[in-house]
Amino acid sequence: MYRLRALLVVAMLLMLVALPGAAQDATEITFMRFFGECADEFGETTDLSEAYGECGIIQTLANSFNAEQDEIIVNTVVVDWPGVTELNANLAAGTAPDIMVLHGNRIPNYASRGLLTPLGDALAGAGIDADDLTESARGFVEYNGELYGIPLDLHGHLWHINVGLWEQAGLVNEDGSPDIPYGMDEFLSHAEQFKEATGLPFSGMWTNGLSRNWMALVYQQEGGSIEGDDGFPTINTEQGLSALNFLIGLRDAGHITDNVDYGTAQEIFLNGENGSHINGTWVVNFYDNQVADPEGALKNYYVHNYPTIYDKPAAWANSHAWIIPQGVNPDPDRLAATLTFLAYLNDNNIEWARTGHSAVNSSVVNSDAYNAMSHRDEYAEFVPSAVIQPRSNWNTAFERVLDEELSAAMIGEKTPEQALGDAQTRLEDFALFE
Amino acid sequence: MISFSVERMVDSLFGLFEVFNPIVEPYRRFHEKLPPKIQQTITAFLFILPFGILYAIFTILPIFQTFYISLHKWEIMGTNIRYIGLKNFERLLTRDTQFHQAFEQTILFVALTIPIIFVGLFFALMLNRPIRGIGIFRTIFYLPNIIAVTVIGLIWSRVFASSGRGLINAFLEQFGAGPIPFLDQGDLATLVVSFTTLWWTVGFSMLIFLAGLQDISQALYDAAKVDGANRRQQFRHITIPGLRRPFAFLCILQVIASFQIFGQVDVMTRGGPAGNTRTIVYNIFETTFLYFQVGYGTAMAVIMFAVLLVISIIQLIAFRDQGLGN
Repeated sequence: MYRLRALLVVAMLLMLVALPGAAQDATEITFMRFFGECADEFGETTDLSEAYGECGIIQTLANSFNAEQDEIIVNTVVVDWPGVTELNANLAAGTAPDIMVLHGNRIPNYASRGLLTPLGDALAGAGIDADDLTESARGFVEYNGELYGIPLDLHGHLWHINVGLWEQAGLVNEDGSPDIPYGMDEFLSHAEQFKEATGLPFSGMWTNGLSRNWMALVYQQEGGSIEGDDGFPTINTEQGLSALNFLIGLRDAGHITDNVDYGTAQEIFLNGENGSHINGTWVVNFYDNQVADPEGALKNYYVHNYPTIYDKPAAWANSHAWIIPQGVNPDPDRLAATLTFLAYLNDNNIEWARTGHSAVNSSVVNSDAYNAMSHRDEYAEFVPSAVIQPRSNWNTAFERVLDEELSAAMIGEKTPEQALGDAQTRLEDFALFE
Repeated sequence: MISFSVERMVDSLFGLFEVFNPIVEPYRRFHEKLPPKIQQTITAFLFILPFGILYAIFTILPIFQTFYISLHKWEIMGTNIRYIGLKNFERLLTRDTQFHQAFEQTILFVALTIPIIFVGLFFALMLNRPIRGIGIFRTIFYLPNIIAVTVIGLIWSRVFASSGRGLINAFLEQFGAGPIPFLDQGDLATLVVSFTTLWWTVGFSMLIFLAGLQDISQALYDAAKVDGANRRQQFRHITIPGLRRPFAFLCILQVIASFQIFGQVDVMTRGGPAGNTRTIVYNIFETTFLYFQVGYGTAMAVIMFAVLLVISIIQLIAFRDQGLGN
C-alpha cells in the first residue's frame, strides 16, 4: 500500500513538472541584453514608431517580433551593463542565453576561446546578407576570418551641445548653429569666453569615461597609439602625457565638470549646468526628446563630432553586436529560431539607428530615411574619425585600469607621469600573463 | 475521490524508505552485538552523515578545489586550463601592486569597522531597559541588518553623492557650503563605505550584546547595590566581565566579515576613486569575473584564507579563557 502511494506521489510530481512543457508548441529563446529596464513604459508597445531611446526601441523590437508570429517566443532577460559578468557566469554554468548583446571589442576574447557560434555559413540561410555590412562594423565581429556575431551599430563619443548657453556666451554663428572650435587654442579660448559669460563650465564628462576621452586625444596626435607593433600596450608615451595634461588643465581651470558618475554627468548637462557634454551616440535620440519637454532646461540641442583638440579628428568608438554563445549541446530548433530573430533585428537596423547610433548595413547607411534622421548630418564625420580599442588580450582590462589611473592623476593622488607609468606596468603585466 | 493531506503525503514519502528494509534488519542484528560505546558512536555518526556529506560536497571540496585551481592558469568558462605551479602566487606577491593596495585597503577597512562592536555595545546598553515599547526601538535598530546590501549601498550613495544631488551636499548648499566630494576622494570614500558598513551591521552586534546582557543575573547587580557599588562600578565589574564571551565572538566574526567586504564597495564606489576602496574580495571579483583569470583570482582567495586562518587562530588563543578557544 505504501509503495502504491509513493508511486502515486512521484507520478503526480512528474506530471506537474511535465505539464507546462507539453502546453507549449512555440520555441522559446532567451534574449539577454543590457540597455536598461523599461518594461513599465514599453512592456506592451509593439508599434516601433512609438518607441524611443535604446531601451524603448530594443524592447519594442522584441515585443513586435513576438506579436508578428507565434512560432517563436523571445524572452528578454535584462542584465547590468556591460553584461560580461552574467555572460561569463552563464557560460561557466552551461546556461548561456540563446542570443546576447556584446560589445564588439570583446568578441576576440570569446571567439578565441571557442565560446561563440561561428555564423558565417548560417547567415545566408537565415536571410541575413553579410555582404551588406559596412566594413567598419564587420571588422568588429570578425575573428580569424570568421563572423562571430551580427553588428547592431557603430557607436562612440560625440559632443552634445546646449546651444542656448552657447548663444549667451556669444559662441554661435549667424545661422544660429554653434561656433565649433578646432584645435587646442580655439577650444580653450571658447571655454574661457563661455565661463566668463555664463559662470558655468564649458563641458563635462563622467569619471569612467576618462579612458575613452584620453584615448581619443592620443589618437588625435601624430604617431599617437595605445598599442605597439608587438601588440603590447603603449600607454606611457609623449602623446599620452600630453592628452592627460590637457584633461587635467581643463579640470584645474574649471572648464569641465568631471569626477561624477554617468547619471550625474548627464543630469548636469540636461539641467543646463554646463555648456556641453561628452557622451555617446546612444543619447542623441534621448536628448532630442528632452528638448520637447517644456519643463526641461535643454531648449536648443546640437550634437557635433568629438572635439578636435590636436592634429586630426579621432573619437573613441565601439560596436554592439548580437552573438550566439556556444552551447554544450546546441539544439538545432533553438538555433534556427535564434537566427530568425537575429534576421528580424538586422532587417530593422534602421529602427535601432534612431537612437543616434550609426547603422551597420550599407543599404541603410545610404538610404534617404537614415540620412534624414534628426541631427544625423551634425555628426556625419563620426564614422571616419572613429578609433577602436586594440583587439589584444589586455583590452579586457584597458578601461578599468586607465579610468583608475587617470582618475588618480585628475584628483591629484598621482602625478600624470606616475599614473601613466603605473597603467603601463599593470597592462603589460596583464598582457604578459595571458 | 482522491483527497490529499499533509500526513498522507509524509506517510507516502516515508514509504519510499521501505526499499532499505532488506538491509535494515541484518544491520540491526549486527549493531546489537556491538559494545554499547561503539553502538553510540556509530549512531551519532549516522545522524550527522547526511549533513556531513552535504558539507563535504559544498564546503570542503570547494576549498580543496580552490587550492587546486590556484596552481593553474584557469579561465572562468573552463577554457585554457594549464598547470603553472606557483606562478600565480609569485605574480601576486612580487608584482601585483593592485593586490598589495587592495590588501592594505582591506586592513584599513577592518580597522575602521572594528568600532562597530563598541557602537553595538552602546546601543545594547541603551536598549536593555525595562521601558514600555522598548521592543519597537530594538526592532528599529536591528532593521538595517535585514536589508539587502544593494539597497543599503544605493541609499547611502544618494545620501553621500558628491555633487549637489547628494542629500548632505544639497543641505550644505542651502548654507553656501560644500559640495564635499564624499565618494570622489580616496580617504572620504573609505570613511563613507566604513560608515555604511557600520550602519548596516551594527544591529547584529547590538543583538548579540543584548542577549549577553540578559544572560547576566540580576542577582549580581542587586548584591553589588547592597555592597554600595555605583553604576560605573557595576558596569566595570559585572557588565564587562559578563560580556566577555559575546565580545570575543563578535571580534572574530567582525574581523572575518570586514575582510570579506564586497557588496558596499561594488554598489557605492566600484573600488574607486582611483582604486582607493578596492578590497581583496572586490579584487578577486574583478580578476575572476571580469578578466577571466579564475586561477589567479583563486590564488588571491588562498592568500586571504591563509591570512584569515592565522588571525582567527590568534584570536582564538587570545580568547581561550572565554571558552572560545576550546
